[in-house]
Amino acid sequence: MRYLAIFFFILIASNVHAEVSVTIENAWVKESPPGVNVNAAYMDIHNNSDKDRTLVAIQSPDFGAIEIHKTIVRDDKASMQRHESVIIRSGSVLSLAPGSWHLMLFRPTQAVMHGSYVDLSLEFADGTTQPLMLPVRRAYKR
Amino acid sequence: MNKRVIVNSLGLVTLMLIALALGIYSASRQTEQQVAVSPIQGMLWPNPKIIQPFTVMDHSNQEFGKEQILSKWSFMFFGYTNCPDICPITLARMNQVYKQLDTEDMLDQVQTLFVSVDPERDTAEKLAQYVAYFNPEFIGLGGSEQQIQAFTQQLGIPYYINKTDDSEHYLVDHSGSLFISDPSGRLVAILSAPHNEDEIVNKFIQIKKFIETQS
Repeated sequence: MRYLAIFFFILIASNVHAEVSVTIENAWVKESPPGVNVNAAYMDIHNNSDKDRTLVAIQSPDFGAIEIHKTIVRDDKASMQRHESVIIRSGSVLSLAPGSWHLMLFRPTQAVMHGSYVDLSLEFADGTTQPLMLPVRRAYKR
Repeated sequence: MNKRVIVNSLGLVTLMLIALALGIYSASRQTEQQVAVSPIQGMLWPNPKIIQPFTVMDHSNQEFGKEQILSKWSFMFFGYTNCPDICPITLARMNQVYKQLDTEDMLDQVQTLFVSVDPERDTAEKLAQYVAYFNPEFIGLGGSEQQIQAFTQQLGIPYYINKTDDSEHYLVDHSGSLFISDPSGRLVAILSAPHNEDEIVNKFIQIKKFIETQS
């Protein structure tokens, strides 16, 4: 019985470890010019686990809607492709950065200005979530 | 009969030899020209596009046309204010370019034009607020659908408005390139994305020096 308890304890403990095996670095939201109510969020999503993780949604009390997009420049034309989800392969990092993958943040509920913070929650296909607080910054120093 | 055939054949062969000689000479001249006149990647040389008269509206709601691009070097970027990624990044880079050009004492010779290909949403007021955020010297250009279409078609610039049911948040596909015109009103270079401010500055200085030596 004791060994069974230990077994289940280790099983649960290892699952908890798997939930925190996604780590986020370099997360920030780009401040938008006045009159523009759409923002972009960038970050590096590290999947340190042995399973692929699929990002399927992003929730936030600070924005009415958030979508996953990728900027593509092909034959001189820049377009943004919307993705319903994106896979972060086990052991790899997905970089959301200017000119590439980004989160598009629509309908802000308050001013999104340099120096403030926004709350986002990343939701994965396996039901896990990753809450984040992102600083708002200008893209370049003026 | 034989004499005539021989004379005709000789005449034909002579003509062929002359044609061959001319062809080789012309080809060798062309090769020399190509080596001399396309030194910088992105330059439209030796055939820059002469920009024909056009009319769009600037962010103060004044008409803006060919006279405004004469006597200055113009950096042109075509995008829209609701673009969250490549447009603000490019304009932020252009602000960094301006800082470097300032150290070269070239600022009074250049202007940066942000041309909106989203006439429905990008009013003059919106453009004014938008470009001023990046640099108070930048100029926002917009206008009617017809004015924008005429100007972009003239320069061969692609854009596509992706209208969906959610009309508030539609996206616009547009050129990612920076277009450079010279003080004679000619499109002289197209710099492809991705952009890097050091590269933009270096190329611009090279292009400017090259064109100034041509006149």
